[in-house]
Amino acid sequence: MGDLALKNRLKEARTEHGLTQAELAVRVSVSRKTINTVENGVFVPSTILALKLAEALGRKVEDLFQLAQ
Amino acid sequence: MSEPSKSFDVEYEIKRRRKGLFVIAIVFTSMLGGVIAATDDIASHGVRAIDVFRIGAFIIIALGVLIFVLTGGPRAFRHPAMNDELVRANRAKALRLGYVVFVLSTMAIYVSSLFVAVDFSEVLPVLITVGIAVPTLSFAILEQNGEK
Repeated sequence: MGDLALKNRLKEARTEHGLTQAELAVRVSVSRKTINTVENGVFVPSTILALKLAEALGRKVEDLFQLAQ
Repeated sequence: MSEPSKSFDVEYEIKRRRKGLFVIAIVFTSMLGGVIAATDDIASHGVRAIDVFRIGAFIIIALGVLIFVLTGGPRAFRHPAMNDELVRANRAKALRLGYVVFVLSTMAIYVSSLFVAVDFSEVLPVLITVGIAVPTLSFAILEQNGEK
């Protein structure tokens, strides 16, 4: 599955910002569960959500999400 | 999509909707016996108001449940997180499963009808129930994943 080929550092970036999942969810207008599933690699976000997350955390998208080699 | 309201508790509403989907799927499935009985009654006693009411209620509720699953319910329009991309992905998976189960059920009934007598006026409510209840239940289960 292609879904398994994406690694992310969302949790690290979020905790570095001192944000909870719920607080980050509010910033990008999704549910806390969506943040949780993205962090756990269960759900691969769209490009739009990835960009919103990167913007909310002050990172580049490629810092948050990388293809697993 | 309307502006998010601060007093609107998205997480609570999402949990409430998920529980509602479970209840709706179970209640709707439990109506099947009554609808088949009403269909039998019409065949044996002719058309009576009570049977028309039971079958009409079944169809109206089926349409209501279908609209609820497709849209996420009336409260889904109050906040974008109620219908975010995870919800849309879960809904798409649930509808896909419902479609596959519906087609397989139809095939099974068709093959059965070659060997045994099948009363299609009784089988059609079963197919409607499968087509509605499977995606509803599946949507509820998918929405439960990642809750913790």
